[in-house]
Amino acid sequence: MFATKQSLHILQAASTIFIVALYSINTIMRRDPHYILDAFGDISLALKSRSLWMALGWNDVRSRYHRSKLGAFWASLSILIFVSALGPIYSNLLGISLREYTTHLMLGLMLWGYISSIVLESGREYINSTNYLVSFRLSYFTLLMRVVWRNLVVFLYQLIVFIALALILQLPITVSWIIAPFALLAITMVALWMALLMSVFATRFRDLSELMNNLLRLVFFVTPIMWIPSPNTQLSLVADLNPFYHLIEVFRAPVLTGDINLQNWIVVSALLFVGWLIAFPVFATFRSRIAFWL
Amino acid sequence: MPNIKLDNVSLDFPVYDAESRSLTTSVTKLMPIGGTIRRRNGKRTSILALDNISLSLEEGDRVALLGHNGAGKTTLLKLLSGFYEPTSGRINCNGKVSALLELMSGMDLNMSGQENIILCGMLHGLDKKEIIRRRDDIAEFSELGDYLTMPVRLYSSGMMLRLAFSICTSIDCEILLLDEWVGTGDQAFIQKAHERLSDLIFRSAILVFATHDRTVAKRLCNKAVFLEHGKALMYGDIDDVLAYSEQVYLDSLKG
Repeated sequence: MFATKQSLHILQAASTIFIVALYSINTIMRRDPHYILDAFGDISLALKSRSLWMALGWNDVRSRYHRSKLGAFWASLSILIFVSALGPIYSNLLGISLREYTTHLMLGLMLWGYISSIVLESGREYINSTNYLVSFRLSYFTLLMRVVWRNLVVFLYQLIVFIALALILQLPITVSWIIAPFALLAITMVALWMALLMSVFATRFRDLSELMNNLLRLVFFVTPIMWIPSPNTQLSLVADLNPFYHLIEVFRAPVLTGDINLQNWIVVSALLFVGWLIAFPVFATFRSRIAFWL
Repeated sequence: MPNIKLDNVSLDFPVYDAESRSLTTSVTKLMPIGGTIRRRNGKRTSILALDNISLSLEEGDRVALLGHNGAGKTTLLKLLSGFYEPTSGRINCNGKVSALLELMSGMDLNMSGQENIILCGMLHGLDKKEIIRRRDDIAEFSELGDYLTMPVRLYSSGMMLRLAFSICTSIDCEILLLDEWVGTGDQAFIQKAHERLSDLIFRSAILVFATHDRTVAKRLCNKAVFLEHGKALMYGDIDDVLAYSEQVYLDSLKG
């Protein structure tokens, strides 16, 4: 069992790296270097205009909950309502303690929402911000950072409520919590390359947003968010082969159980590395075409 | 030193939602409106919005872009602003560019006037300290007073224009790109607005201004480009180009 799993991983990684290497060489051969430089310029302009995307992202959150009394706490509340309704039923159904299940479900939902919203919203971001792009010297990456920022704000609001829940349920606070900010950073970096790819292709092919919306809904059910895989079963193999599981676990596992799982971090690092290796050349190749697709 | 250089720049616009068969192709060829629509067998429909343009602008050049509707004036401005990249040829733009293409862009109707001043300032590339330094000047010029604390959606359209105009004209840039939107607001404000706009124009090193209005062009500009079907038919001194475009117009009347 273990041997097949391991060889599957290796096969998967090897084939991916092979395709990426071929693709990158092809890209660099075909294009002159100013495409690559322009793409770097785009990203560095975004990093320089931090205060702009922070302001834009914050405004997005504010206007979404405009004039509601609870404001962005609605994002926390809606998850809390879901968890408190489903928690007692599903924990019984799955035979897991209520404390373990609700914290697992809530963190899973928060992280899933963070990743999937960044990816899905990036698909519409350039189209929705066309007037900004026409009128101001904005880089495309600035707009993606705006998407990240508004989702990070929502995530942090939810985190406040999660911490309150954890205190009520007397979840042990361990030293491993220190790893959480780094895990969130890694998750964000992975979500960003997915967003970069999504933003390019979904702007050109308008069906992609709808398609991804449906696909991600399926992935949600396959990923251990509503369920917990018991070790060394068929289900744990399903979880292990799913990159989103590892992406969620790098944050969730240390917070809930205090364990830092090396395998999760290896998969996430590989995702980070291979993902950017694909996404950046794609972005560089098509960046100058995006304006025509709006 | 701010300068702009265009070398054989073309912009061939792909069109993804056009009908593939149409009679208009043959008709538009005879009319001076729009870029050339290109339909090639087996290839995607495209519009040649800019056709092989070479220009060189130096400090002190205030250039009017003249031409019929769809001759490529706004497209050329969007190219200079960096929104479009040429599909062939090279463009070299040195200097801080500001494009005032749409007056109201960047405004959020649910935010107050004050908040809009800060947001638009940031979008124009000013840092927060700089905006706060200019905020009072913008507020004073707009004459909106206490309304600046109200959401912009409660403003009348004239009040919105006042605010937008006050923000737009408070920026600093080396290369200023203007699309035609001068002459808004009530009479007293127009007078004030023109002075402030001229001030901005003469503060900038280079102006590129798309317009149909010959008198405004003559007052603000010293050079001009005459565009037709995306081609720069003539570039030179404003009086020469105006005379040339007059001639083209008269010729077209004669048929």
